[in-house]
Amino acid sequence: MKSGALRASVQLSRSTFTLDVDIAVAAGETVAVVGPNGAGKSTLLSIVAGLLVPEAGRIEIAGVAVDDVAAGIHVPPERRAVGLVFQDHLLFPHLSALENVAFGLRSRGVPKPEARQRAAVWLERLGVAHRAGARPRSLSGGEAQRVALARSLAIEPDVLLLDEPLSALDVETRDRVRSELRTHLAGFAGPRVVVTHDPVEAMVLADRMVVLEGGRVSHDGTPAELTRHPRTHYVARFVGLNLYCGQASGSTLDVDGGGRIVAAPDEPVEGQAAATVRPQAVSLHLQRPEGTPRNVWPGRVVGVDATGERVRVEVESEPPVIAEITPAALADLRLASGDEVWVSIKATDVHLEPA
Amino acid sequence: MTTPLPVRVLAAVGFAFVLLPFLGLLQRTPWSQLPSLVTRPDVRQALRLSILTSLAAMFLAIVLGVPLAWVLARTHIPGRSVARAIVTLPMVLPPVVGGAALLFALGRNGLVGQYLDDWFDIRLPFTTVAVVLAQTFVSMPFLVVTVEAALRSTDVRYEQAAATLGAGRWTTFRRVTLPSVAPSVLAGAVLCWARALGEFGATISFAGNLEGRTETVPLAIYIELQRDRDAAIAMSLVLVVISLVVLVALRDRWYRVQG
Repeated sequence: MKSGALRASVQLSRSTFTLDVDIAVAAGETVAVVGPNGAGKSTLLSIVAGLLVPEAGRIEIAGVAVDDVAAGIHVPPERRAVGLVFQDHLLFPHLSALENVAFGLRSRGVPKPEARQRAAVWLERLGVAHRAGARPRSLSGGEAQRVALARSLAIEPDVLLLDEPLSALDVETRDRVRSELRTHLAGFAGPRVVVTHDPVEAMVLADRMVVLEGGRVSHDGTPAELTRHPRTHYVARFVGLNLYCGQASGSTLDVDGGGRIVAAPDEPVEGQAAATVRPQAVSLHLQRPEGTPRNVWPGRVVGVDATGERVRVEVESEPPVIAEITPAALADLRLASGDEVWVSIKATDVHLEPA
Repeated sequence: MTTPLPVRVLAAVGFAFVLLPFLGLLQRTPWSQLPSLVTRPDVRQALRLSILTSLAAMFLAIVLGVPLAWVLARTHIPGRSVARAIVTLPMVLPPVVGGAALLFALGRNGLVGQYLDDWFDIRLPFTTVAVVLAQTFVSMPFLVVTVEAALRSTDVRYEQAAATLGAGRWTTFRRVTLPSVAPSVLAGAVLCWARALGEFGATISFAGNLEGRTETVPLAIYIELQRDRDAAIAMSLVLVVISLVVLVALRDRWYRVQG
């Protein structure tokens, strides 16, 4: 297997956005491409796979140009070694799992017995050898995902792309398959790109995260960097933080769009600045709280999300805030959408820094 | 929900309307002479010719019709909607007009026919080949319409998946697209074959009525109705039975695939 970096610097206009992206992924590196719906994540994968032709730019895989608009180069998808695992797997319904995996090898001229033999090895490697004869319709979500991965890996691609690899799975299997997927990705030597909208998936799978917003890269860094310094609202929400941008003066931030937050910085901050607040640091009250918190303001509950062990409460106020409280606290407060609440945050829980 | 009374009554009338002519046919069938009638040389010849030509027409319609359906469904050539209307025209045209048109195109003095005659010494009218061409002309639209609808509703992303796995266009068409529309090709082929088997108007005007060469069962039935009614009824019965058997066997199959 060849191994070499993927470099893509491409532009393409779509109806709702213009993709203008410059990314590089090293061999053996997993990059998660995250971003809101319609940000161009899947479009980017399609371009790298050769299914869409960029209007401008260049894509290089292991030093060889597969797209170069200026030079008139466009290698069609069937002649570039890019493995693409689709969101809903797209296993061919009329072929067995084994035949699906053998499809790429057969298409590349490998004789049938050898192709089937090599396909069987891939199914074995991914732990689905016992399902070799099954039609895709009868596979479980996790099995289908592994067969789809085996099918893409069987052609021994130079680059592996995965589009929302876990989104077709139910919540219980997702956790298990996610850690499996991490192992399988580690076994692939080339650059790997995973498109996802799931923060956990991105954090677990990726060495580096590229955030696409409105067709452009708004962030490029390790998951830890992203969590520490979210630069946009999307990223802050993605990593689960409240982010406020505005004008700072000393320890006070006048938030763009209304409201004021007081922090306790070591040194005064002046001018353009951003404050982040962890949702766990936000307290909610039914009456105006007495006491020491420096940040107290009224608001209205617009959403209560109790999926995990913690409850996320979205409050519309100036500035808006997301609070994370325990189910017990929710039971005490009996909060529901539309309720009036008071928000309080201690100044020491506000992290203020120049933008 | 129970079926409302008016719906039940009208459905019963509709069913009776379709069934009644067959009962009439059965009632007039000379059962005792049936074996000797069906095995009569001229009847056997017409039956054999009908089955061979209708199968040939179906085959030709598949070979030409599936690619035609693909082009109509998938490409964006200018004038595509006009092309689609032209392709389906034989479905609504009186078959006799179609046969006459074939004669003007492929006849000895026809648009193309004169060159076939001059250059290759090929004369199509009043041959068995003409029967097949007439049947294909009127029946191919059934296949094209069915397959085109299926191609439109298939998910092109399967073809994209095939491309990323290294399959060229032809491999993708053969191994992904075609299997995904196979039930519709089968359904369209059955409709097409049934239409070809019953073809009368285009055949008689383009191929004439030559016993053993162009006299298919429908033509023979028409002639025999005036000469030997019992032979006409026997042949009609054979057509009804063949059609019924094929429809029952294959319709079940294609409903199962689609539903």
